[in-house]
Amino acid sequence: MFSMDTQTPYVFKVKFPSDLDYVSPVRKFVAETLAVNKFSPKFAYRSEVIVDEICHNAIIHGSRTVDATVEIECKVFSDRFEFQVNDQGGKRDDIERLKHAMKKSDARLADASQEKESRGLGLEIVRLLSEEIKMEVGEDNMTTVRVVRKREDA
Amino acid sequence: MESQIELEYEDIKGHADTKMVRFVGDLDATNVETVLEKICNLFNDGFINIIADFKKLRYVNSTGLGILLHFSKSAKEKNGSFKIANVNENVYEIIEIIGATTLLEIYDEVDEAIAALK
Repeated sequence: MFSMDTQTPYVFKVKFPSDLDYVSPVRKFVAETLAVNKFSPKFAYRSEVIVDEICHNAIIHGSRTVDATVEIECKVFSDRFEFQVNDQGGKRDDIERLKHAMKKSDARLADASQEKESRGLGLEIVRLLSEEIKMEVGEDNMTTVRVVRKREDA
Repeated sequence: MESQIELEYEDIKGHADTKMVRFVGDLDATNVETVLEKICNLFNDGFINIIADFKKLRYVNSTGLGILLHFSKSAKEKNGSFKIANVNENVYEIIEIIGATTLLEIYDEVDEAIAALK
C-alpha cells in the first residue's frame, strides 16, 4: 500500500507499444494496484474495464505508425482514481469517429449485433462507470482522454 | 499474446442440436476472433442452440460483449438460441449497464437454460 490522501496521489505512468496484446497486463496491473490500496474489488474491476476500453480506443484510433506508443498516467487518491491516456495522433476520420462515440447513442447496441463489432460501446461503458470523462485533441491529432472515478464510499 | 480464454464443450442429453460451452478466463479484443471462429464452427456443424456457461468467465469488455450479441443474432437466424447462464456479478454489470440484458437470454443456472430449450 502506498502513501496518499485526497490531495496527494500515488502516481504511476506506463508507456507501451500501440498493440492490443499489451492492454491486458496493463489493465490488470492497474486493477491490482487499486486493490492493494484498499479500493473495493468492484471498484478495481470497473477501473480495469475503463482502462481496457480507453487503451483499446487509443490503439485502434490513435496510432498511425507501426512504432506508435500509448502512454497512461494513473493518479490514485484516497477517495478517487484519475486515469489519463495519451496517444500519438490518429487520422482525422478516426478522431471524428471518436468524438461521435463520445456522444450517447441508443442505436449502438443494435449496431454491435449487426456488425460483429462493438464500435462506440466501449466509451458508453466508460461513461456509465465513471464520474467524468473528457477528451482533448491537440496538435497533430494527438488525443488525450481523462477519466475520473470516485470511491463508492467517498 | 492473447488473453487467456478456454472453451470447454459438453453435449446435452436429449438435445442433439445443442452444445454447452464453458467459457473460462477473460473475453476481450485479443481473443474474440478465436472465440468467434469456434462458436461459428458449432453453428456450422448443426448446433443451433448454444448454452454458454459463464461461471468461470472472469472478465468481458465491449468487444467481447459485441461478439455475444452477434452470437445471439446468428443463433436466432438459424431458428436456434444462444443462452447464457451463471454470469458473475461483475460481468453481468457490464452487460446490464448498456441495456444488453434485453437482447441476450440470461439464466441463473445452466439447468434453467436447458429447461428453456424448445
